Amino acid sequence: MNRRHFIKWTSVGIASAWGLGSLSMARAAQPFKVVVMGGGFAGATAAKYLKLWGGASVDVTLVEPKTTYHTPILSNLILNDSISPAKLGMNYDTLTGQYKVTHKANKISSIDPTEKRITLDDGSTLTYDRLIVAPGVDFKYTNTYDVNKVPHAWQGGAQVTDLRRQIETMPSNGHFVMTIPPSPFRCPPGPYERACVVADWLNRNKPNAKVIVLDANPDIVVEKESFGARFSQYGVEYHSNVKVTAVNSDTKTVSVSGAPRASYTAEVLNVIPAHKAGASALLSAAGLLSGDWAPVNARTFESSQVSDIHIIGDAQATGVPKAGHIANSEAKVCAEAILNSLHGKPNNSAQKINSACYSPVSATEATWLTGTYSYSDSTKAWIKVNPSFAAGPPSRKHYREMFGWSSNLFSDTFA
Amino acid sequence: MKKSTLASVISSALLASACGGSSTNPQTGTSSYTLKGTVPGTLIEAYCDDGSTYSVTSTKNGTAEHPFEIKLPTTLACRIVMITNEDDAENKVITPIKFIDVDGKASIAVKSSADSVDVGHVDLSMTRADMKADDNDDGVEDKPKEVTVDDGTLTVVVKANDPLDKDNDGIPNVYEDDDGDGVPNHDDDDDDGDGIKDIDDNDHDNDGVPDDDLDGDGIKNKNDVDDDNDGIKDKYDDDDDDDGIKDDDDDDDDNDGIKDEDDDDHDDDDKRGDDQNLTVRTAKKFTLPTTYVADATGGRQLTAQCAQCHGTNGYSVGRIDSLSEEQDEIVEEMAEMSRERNDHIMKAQAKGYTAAEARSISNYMRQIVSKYGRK
Repeated sequence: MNRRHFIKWTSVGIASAWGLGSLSMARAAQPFKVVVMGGGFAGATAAKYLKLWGGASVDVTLVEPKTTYHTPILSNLILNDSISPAKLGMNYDTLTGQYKVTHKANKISSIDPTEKRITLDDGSTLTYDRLIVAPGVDFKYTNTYDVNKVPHAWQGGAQVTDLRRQIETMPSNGHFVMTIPPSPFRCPPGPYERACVVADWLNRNKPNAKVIVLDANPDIVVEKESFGARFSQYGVEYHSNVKVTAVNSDTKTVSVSGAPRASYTAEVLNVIPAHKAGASALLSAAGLLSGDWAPVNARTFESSQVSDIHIIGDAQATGVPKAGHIANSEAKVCAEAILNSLHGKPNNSAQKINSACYSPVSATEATWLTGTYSYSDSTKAWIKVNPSFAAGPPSRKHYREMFGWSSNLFSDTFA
Repeated sequence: MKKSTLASVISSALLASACGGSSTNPQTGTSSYTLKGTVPGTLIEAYCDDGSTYSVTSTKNGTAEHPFEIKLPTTLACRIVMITNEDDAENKVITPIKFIDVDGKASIAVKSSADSVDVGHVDLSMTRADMKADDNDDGVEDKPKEVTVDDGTLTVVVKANDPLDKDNDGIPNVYEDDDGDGVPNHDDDDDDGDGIKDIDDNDHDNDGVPDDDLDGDGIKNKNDVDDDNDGIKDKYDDDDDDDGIKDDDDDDDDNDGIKDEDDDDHDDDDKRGDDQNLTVRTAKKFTLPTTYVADATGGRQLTAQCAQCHGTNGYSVGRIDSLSEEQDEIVEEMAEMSRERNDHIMKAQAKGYTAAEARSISNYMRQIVSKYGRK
């Protein structure tokens, strides 16, 4: 009997499971233990909603080494000095205080899916009835180089502040060169948004500076009309189908193929490398990965390879966009599915998740992009509800709405 | 403050009917008097203390003196502006009127408790060349034309600080030319010439202080019964800000980007001004359940999918509507939003949900509101 069938069988009859004397079954009593790995938009939302809906029936432990999480969302506004970095720092005080989530400021060093146990970097262990893995993304570097000199600034926090400092101090006729990774990558509008925001700032502050965008994709991935128009307006030099082959952080040179030149040297070089699931060594050792990402049952986000472990957010492989808003969305579906499963309740067949993002394109204007997905019982996948997919043009109104959106998204996740 | 396309349509409709002598008048329920007289072919406009506006065109009668009648509210002081060649943007002549009453007092603001006031014939310049003085070439007479009504029917209201004429020069704010581009604010879609269209600009005079005065008439929106000066009072106007989005579908009826009650500091004068607009907080302390209750309806999960923008359990912390304050209108609003022609994000999102799902969300929100209240 493989483990999956074993679990399915035992969930039908808890009494007989007790009789088997299985350690994991002995633990399957209330309060259930759910461990969440990763305190970003996916993990923090899952922890909060498990307690909001599950209350005393579930113990939730959030394992996240950081005590302050810096959101990548809105972080391009640090690059044009429109927002202070501290403003994007989120803590877990409400989750631990109001929602009774236990926060362990540790890294997970190993996962044992058979014993349903994780080991932390301090040597302590935690057992779980369900484990939610929300590690975000990691990068596939072309070669070893100093990311302090060539930051990706794609995970919020210190690298973004570093990149801002570099932009601020670059010579007035300097070059800002950024590379965009091949899809799928976190936040599809993000790199184009960044190029716009930086170009707009440079145009106003260092009008002789030059912005060059080297995109691995065949074209602007999303909102081409808005971003393309802004690239023209700002004088951004854009090349598609450009593959990064090497990065030299000492000379700040990126070697490429498919661009007019074989290499670009810049005063400020922002290479955003190709993505893979975060904590990939750990996930790989636990048998969760297939290629770069973790395949899941789309309805519950349970791993299709390992029982009782769910993967949400950027690391999972359902094919929906990788971004904070939809990660929050997935987390709620996953949290309810876990609670229903632990309590022996059925899931509703129909379900929806959604993606939404506002992208600043200057210090005063933003665009939006949105869409809703419906779970299909027949294809076992998240299917686009086509009429709901749309983009909004740059406007000051959308820029202001962006703060209404992010205030609620951040609060729904962290507060 | 130039009208949007929609407003132009409305205005021309009014003008068309005005040729027959009809007018936009004070809505029923307020007492009014009739101001009448004769003019050359003219559009007569009135700007009143509560921000309301009225207009009428004179009636052609085959002579050079066309009669007009305009009903104005008895209780409010109004300012009269007369416009010849009103359909010709390049050649129209705009003449504010300063009245002198029986006591010899003079002001552009007048009211009356009589049934009607006859101002007699008002002779107006018909061409720019005939204007008395127009130093800034905006088609507005630099000084108002003086008209005496000495039969006691008209009362002049002398104001030390008239909000509708801030510089007290006898030219209402709406007919100043703030940016000096030769187009008076009334006809200028960018009053302050800052490159931000008035419809998107909450600071028409570009002084760095948000003026919350969509039509730039000097009366703040919250006190203005006609925010967009389209002659239709807001309570009758289904599109207060004239942005072409019906109010029912417009989360921002006054188009300043935010709901008035949330309007604190959005002045764009500080490079980090909007920084303050990111608010991360707990809107509501929810009770954690002691036992798990599954939700077979799906409403709980669907409602949670709204929370990214509308707040946990529908209690918003930002400028987006709280579902908790409109739990009974969700079905109707989502249906309306999905049909509108605009660039609102909710128009797209509304299409992602069925009517049954919207009902499910509404039902769940009713449960939440019954437990935690509307705010």
